[in-house]
Amino acid sequence: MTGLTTDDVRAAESAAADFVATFERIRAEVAKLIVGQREVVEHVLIAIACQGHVLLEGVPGLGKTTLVTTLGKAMHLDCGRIQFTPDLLPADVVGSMILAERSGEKVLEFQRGPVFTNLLLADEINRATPKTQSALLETMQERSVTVAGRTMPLDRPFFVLGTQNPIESDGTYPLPEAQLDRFFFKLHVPMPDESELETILQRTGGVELPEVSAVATGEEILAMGETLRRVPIESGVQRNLIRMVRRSHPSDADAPESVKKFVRHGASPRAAQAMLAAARARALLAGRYHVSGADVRSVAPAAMRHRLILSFEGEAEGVRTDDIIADVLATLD
Amino acid sequence: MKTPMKTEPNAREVGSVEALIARTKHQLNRARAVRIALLACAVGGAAAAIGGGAFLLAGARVPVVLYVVVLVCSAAIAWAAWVIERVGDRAAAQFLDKSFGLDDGLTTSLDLHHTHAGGAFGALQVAWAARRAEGLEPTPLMPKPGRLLIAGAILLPTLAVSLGFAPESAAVVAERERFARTLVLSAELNKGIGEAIEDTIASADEEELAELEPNELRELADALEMSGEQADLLRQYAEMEHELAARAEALQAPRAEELMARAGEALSEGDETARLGRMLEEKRFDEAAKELEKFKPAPEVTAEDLARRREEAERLKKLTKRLADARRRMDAAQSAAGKPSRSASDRSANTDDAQTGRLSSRKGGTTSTNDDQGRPIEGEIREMEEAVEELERALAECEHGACEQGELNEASDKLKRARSAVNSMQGELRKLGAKQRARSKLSKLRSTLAQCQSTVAGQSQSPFAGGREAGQGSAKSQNAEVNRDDGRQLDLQGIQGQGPSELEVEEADSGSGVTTRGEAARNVDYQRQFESFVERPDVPDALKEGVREYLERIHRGPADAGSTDEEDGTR
Repeated sequence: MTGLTTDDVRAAESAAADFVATFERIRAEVAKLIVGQREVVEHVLIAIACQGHVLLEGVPGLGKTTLVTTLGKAMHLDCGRIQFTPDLLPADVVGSMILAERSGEKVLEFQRGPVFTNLLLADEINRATPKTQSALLETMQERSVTVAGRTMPLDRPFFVLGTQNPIESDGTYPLPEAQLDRFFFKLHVPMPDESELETILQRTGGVELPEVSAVATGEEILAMGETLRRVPIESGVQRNLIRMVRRSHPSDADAPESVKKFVRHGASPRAAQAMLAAARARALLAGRYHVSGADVRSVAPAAMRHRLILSFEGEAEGVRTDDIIADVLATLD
Repeated sequence: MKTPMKTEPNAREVGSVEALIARTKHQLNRARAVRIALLACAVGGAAAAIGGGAFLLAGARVPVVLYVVVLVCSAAIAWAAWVIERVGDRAAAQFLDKSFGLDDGLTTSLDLHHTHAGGAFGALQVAWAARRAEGLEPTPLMPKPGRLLIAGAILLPTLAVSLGFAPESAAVVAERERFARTLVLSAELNKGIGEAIEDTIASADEEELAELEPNELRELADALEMSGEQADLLRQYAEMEHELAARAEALQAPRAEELMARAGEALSEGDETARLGRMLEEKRFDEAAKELEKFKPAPEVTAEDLARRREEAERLKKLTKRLADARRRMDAAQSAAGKPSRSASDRSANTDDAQTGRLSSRKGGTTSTNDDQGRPIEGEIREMEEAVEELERALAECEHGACEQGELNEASDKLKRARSAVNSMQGELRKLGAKQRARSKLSKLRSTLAQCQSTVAGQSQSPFAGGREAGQGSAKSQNAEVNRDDGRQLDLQGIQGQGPSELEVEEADSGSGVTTRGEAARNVDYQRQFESFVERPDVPDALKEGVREYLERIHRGPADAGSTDEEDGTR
């Protein structure tokens, strides 16, 4: 901490305050339309602050699409949507080269696909074929598109919010592990309770829907990500985070019995990165300037549940990855 | 232009956090030290109490070394536990975080302070932690030892120490004393046995010494060990007795003795040889050897005493014949019993080897065995027989011939041979006598060892108690009055017909008898014991009834008892 000036400290304090303020503004704006789902909204916003993609899982009609469009409006971001179907082609996602006439000359021109946006809603992502799903791989990780040898960067910020229906399995293609790993969080969208349903009906049953205003900009979202990286983490807490990831692997000596029995592959290093970033966000939101063990624990299920690959026994016995993660957390101090 | 950050507030903030952590660490360490000390007291006390209890149950006094060992072990374990469980700064910070819900704030602050990492956010974090740490007081949070632990730490050592004052049981004291007594007794007995062996050796003549093998006897005595254990002593004395028995057995010459007994029987029939025969029958071999001297002819013969020599030869011939007859009868008897009769000549090498081998297996001491002891005597009888025949022939030729000097010389040679044969026979008899005496001495030693075993078992006095010789007796009483167990006072005046007597007259159906007063007193004791037995409350009634009935039957006599049985049978 040598060489620091009061300006540096004040700037950091201001950045932290801005982070919280921006976060709360967006949350408040989204809450105008999205009733309940507080945890889902918070996790989605944390993922966005961390520049991460989110996979939303829930039955139809829970407001997944509404959440995405609302977020787009609140953050003043360009929104795109792709309804994934089995006949969807990769070119329909990323775009394709077309023959166009320019000044009397016919030239090949790149027709941008719907991924060229800030906030992409990949609705029912598991209905597309693996080939089409894999078209999203580069866009999600590299945030760029390569067509006919040309690589075109996507606009920043860029987020993918995928949705999938956990009930219907006919005509679906489970996402490959590589693609699942690229999602920062996987969130379960719960069914609203009675009072929340009543509020939903009151808000959406009238002639006018609540108006959602833009309360943040893309730059502010990117700045949030920059702020996060500066939040310190104590070595012991970080050690626990690492142990958490390691103990999700059946090969680890200290892994709980459930992991050894039901898990084929544990969480990847991306899970550790995601947990650290998300924990930092939670620390700032809690008014702290450091990451606590509780922060890491709170984000562990969302960051790890889609990264654990169950074994045959696990699948056969219908084991939930959240239970396994709870077992892993129980082994730590 | 950036202004340098104010270091003063930060230093104070950091200082306050560090002071809080240091204070907490100190208090936590003190609390743990107290807990470990109490735990060590309780566990050490429990261990000492259990160990002491075990000693007391065994009847022994609790040894001080037990307390020392428990104390040292407890202190060492407590010290090790204290070193292992000592709380550091990080653990103290974690304790504060957990106790005050600071979400790892102080731990992170400490970490950032030590690593100088975190940048501006680190500075913010330290300030945040310092603000949160203000006014925190860890003292009320310090863990306090439970009442159970405190009680255990006080009561268990107290109990253990109090056990140390308990006396050892009478059985253990008695056992220890018995051990010491046995040890002293073993020394006394070993010394006594050694002296007895030395006495035996000293009292033995040369021939006996040749049989006794004194050095080996001394080795046996030297091999005796002192011991406080009765069983060990009994074992070693029994082993030595067994060894002596084996030696005595090896000295036996049953064949030779049987031959001599038969010879004695045969010789008893003759007038001249009757005395010698009795001696042989009674196994008085030394006397028999002397008696045999009478049958020895003179070594020289002249024309004048030829008749006298012939008489001597005749007498020797009769003796020899009876001896030879006895030998033949024994051979015949043994042949009839299935044992092949063996002449002296064919009983040589192979059997000697056999006996040597058998003996060498038994500590390699003696040089002959029972079965072969008779052979030299048989040979001597044969030799005597031959010598007498030749002598008789020589004397007859001399008498019938001209009795020239040449014939006389030859007769003299035969006389010498006959004398020599008698001498050899005497030697063999003396040897038998020596074996007999050696056997007797060994038997005496065996008897001493048997007495030693009896002494060790507490059944008799030491065989070496008192002097070796009889003491000086006195008719003068040392005590004018003697108190008896039954309370009666005896005052023996020594005047016939006056004063109390040691004798009592008891009347019975078959007549009157005399018993000593000691016997009468013993009977009174028995009676009292039976009475007290049948009155004991813990003895079952059926058993009491049985004892009572038994005594009644004794008093009634067999006839009455028979009638009682009959009555019982009719019931």
